[in-house]
Amino acid sequence: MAKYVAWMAAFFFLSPLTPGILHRVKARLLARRGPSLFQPYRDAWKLLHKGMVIPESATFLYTFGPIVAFASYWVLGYLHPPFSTSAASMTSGADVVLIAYLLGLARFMMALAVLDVGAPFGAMGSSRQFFFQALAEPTFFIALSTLIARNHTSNVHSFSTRQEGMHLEVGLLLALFALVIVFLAEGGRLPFDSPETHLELTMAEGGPALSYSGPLLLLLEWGNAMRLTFFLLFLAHVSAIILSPVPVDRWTRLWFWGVEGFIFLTLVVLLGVLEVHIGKLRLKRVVAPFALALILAITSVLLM
Amino acid sequence: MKDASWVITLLFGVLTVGFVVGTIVPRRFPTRRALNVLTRVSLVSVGLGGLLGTWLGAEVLFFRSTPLRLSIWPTPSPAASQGQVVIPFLPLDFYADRLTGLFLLIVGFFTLILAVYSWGWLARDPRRHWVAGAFNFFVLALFLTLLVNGAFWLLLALELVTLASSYLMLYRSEGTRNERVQEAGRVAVRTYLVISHISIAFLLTAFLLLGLRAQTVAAQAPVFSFDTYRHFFRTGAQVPHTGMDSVIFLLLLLGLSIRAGMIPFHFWVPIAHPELPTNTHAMMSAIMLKIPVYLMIRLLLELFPPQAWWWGGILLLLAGGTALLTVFYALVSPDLKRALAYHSAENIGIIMAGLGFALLFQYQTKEGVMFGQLTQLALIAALYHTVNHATFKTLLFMGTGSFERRTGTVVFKELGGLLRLYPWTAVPFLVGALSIVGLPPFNGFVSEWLTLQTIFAGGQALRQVASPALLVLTVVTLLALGAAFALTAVAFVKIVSETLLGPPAAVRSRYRGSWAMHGTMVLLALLCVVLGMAPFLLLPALQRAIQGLTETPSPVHATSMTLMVRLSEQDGLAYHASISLIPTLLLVGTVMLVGGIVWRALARARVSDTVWAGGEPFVPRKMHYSGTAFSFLIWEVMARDPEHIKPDHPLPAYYRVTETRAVPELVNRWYNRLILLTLQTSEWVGNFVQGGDIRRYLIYIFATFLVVLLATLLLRQ
Repeated sequence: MAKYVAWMAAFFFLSPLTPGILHRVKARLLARRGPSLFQPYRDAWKLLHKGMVIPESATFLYTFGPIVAFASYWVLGYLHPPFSTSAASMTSGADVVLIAYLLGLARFMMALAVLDVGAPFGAMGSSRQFFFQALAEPTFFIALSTLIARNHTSNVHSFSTRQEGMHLEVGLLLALFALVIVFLAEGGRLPFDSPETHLELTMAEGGPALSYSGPLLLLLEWGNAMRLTFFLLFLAHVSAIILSPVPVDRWTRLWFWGVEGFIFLTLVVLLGVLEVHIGKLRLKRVVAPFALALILAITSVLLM
Repeated sequence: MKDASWVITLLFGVLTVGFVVGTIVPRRFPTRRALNVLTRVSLVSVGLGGLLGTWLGAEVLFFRSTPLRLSIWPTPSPAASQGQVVIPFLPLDFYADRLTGLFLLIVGFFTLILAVYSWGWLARDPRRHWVAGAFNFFVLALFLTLLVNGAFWLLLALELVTLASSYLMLYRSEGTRNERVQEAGRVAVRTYLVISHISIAFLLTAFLLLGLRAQTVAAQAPVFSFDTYRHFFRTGAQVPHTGMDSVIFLLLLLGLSIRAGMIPFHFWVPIAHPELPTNTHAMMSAIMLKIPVYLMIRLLLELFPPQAWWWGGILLLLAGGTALLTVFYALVSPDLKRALAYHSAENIGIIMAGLGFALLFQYQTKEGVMFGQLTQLALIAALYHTVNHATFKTLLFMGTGSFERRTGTVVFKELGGLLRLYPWTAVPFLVGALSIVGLPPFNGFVSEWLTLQTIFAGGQALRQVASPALLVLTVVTLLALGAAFALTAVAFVKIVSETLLGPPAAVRSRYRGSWAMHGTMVLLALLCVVLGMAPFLLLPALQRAIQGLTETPSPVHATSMTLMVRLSEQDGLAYHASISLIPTLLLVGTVMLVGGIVWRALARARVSDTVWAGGEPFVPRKMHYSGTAFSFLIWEVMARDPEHIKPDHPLPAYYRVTETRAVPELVNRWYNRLILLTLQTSEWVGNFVQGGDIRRYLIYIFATFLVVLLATLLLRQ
């Protein structure tokens, strides 16, 4: 119990470090010095002390959107096992399918919030997010079914690590690649959506954020940081499961979490490299990477 | 036994009285006050009928160890019928086991809710007595369908359902002089009657063949009694599989899937359903479409269990296709009632996916205990979704009805801004929308999760029996359902935004609704939350309902905190999964905490300003982002220029989404061709074959005579 509380608190407070590191990496790759690692916290502090401007046409749904999005992104953290447990509880209810539903809840309430106001920027961005979701969701479920078939459970807390003498799991690797593409789309990263710009022609994620100011914007930004952290952590966890041996005693367990942390940092750097080197795809072109992800996912099911 | 017969008699008696009071008596007393009283009496009787049905269902489901049997017209004993002509199918007997009990409970409870709702909804309707009376008849037919224990009476009851609902379908076209509305009504009634009769024809053929098949085993068995089938096919092993069985299965499947509105027969649902008055539209879309689900479990799992692997496979393909295709057309529907009717077909697809897996697993049960458990899991998923869909769809229709009363329309373009105008109706409607999308604290999530678990666990089990075709089938179903779930979300963002949000609709009526309407809606909204957060309340009922079908212990366990699916290693498959209240409570707690803080901050200092739209002044009527624009990226794939689509008759050939774009309804176009061909053929028959010329008929007689003569000669030799 205490471990879960500590983990959820750590997930909440440390998440903004991920975009901090990411910005630093990207700046370095472009030969700039870049902001401090703690810049997201400073931005948060600034936003917290600003006022909120509420549009005249707004109902309660407008304020409800960012709050629900924030809450569901935080609860995503529950779907990663806390650091010190290895014997997972079967009834913890940390089902992988919940990832899709929590993201769906956040997206749905944000869509209602921006349509409540009615300004075109937010609604257009939200509409694009739903387009991505419609393309990503089947792939997501199929890739998850590979993960589930391998672990004999859909409970993340009971995912088992590599057994002795197991050969390299090719199916799982393919599923992992499919998940990477799905998460890039769901997380609003390049090449699907460019997180840095606020140009209405390119944005999906940025659109809804334009309707908000002050503490409500803070909720959105912090939520996005938590979502990004969760995606990378989840990928790191699954990769660590493939690579590292069974944690039996304290030292192997420590080794396991060390491997996972290392993969996590590598993924942050890789994301930075990716975002510096590629541009955003035209809206209709995103079908191609989704098709690739779908093929990978289906192949992974058949290979498992 | 005695008390049950009393309940059943009272049930049918009350409903008949309500029907007579609502439709026949008003002809003698057409004054306004008399109509008010008669409507009230009729509604009380339908409510009473619902209550009795609920009671009967609960009694059969929870308090009875053996199925309820009741003979109204018993089969004459062989000794007594010596020398008399015995009509083989006439004996009428009722049979209710726990499965029937569950469905009686569903029909009864929602009838009761809708009767209370109609108290307010019908209050000012000019044809209130008539709707109330027909509602009685409709419910009576539904109960009869659930209770009968023989094919002949089942077909008769289905005919009564058809009759009752097509009678109600006259509602819109009778109340108007608008020719287009009248034409739409005529098309609806005609389509519905034709399609029901085609379905009945398939079912009748299937039952005839089934009876003959049963008679090959025991010659004296009554052909049409379900007991005969129950006795011969349930034991399975003695009856060798023949090709005829597959034909019977296909006929049954066709007949039932037409009634359930599955592809490619879904087209009648959005044409026929919206013509009903909205209170009974709820009954038809949310409850009546569940009758084929019940019949499918009864016929295909209990009486005539699957004998080839592809039986379940074909149902799965149909289910996946139904979910995907209908949700797409829901997205482009021009009005609320039609969109919700399409969504009913979509949810039937999700339920049928569960049933398809149940058939698949039932066939595989010889492979081990795990398949027995998986059958249970699949059935529980399907039944949970059945209950959920009944709840949230009834809620959504009640919301639609309330909006319709105030604004006088259900067309999306004329609605909007109702969240501000009528929060007591709009907030429950919103809860219904969140439930149907399947978002976590609400009930749709639980049944979608169970369906997904069926696929995940089932895929793993089918992997063990090493059959690639089944594995591919599983992946295809997952693909279709995943896409359907995602599109449901888009469709409901559109529906909610076009009705509840945006610039306000014109209010045509000062009627603000009554306690009956608000109360029932709030009740169902609460039920959505309860079924979503406390599955342990419903699960035992579902497990009892399917106890008669499989003997294996149930793999689904519920406590007040968790819902768990668990198959153990010694049964052949190690698998477990769970959802619990912990993440849900974290979610709800965070929303309440943060929401409270934000609300207090807003109460202290709230700055309102005009909507920011990139520097331009924001004009709500002109610039508000519409739901159609919101879903553009999805429907645009299928959109054409309406000029290029040939206007087609009689089914709507396309939906006009904007001024310049239209989405063709492909299946309807195909049917239109079929209908036109039929018309041409019958015209040819009328003009040429039956020309009215006496010489022609003499030739026919002569030709027939020759053919018979030749046939006799040839057969003799």
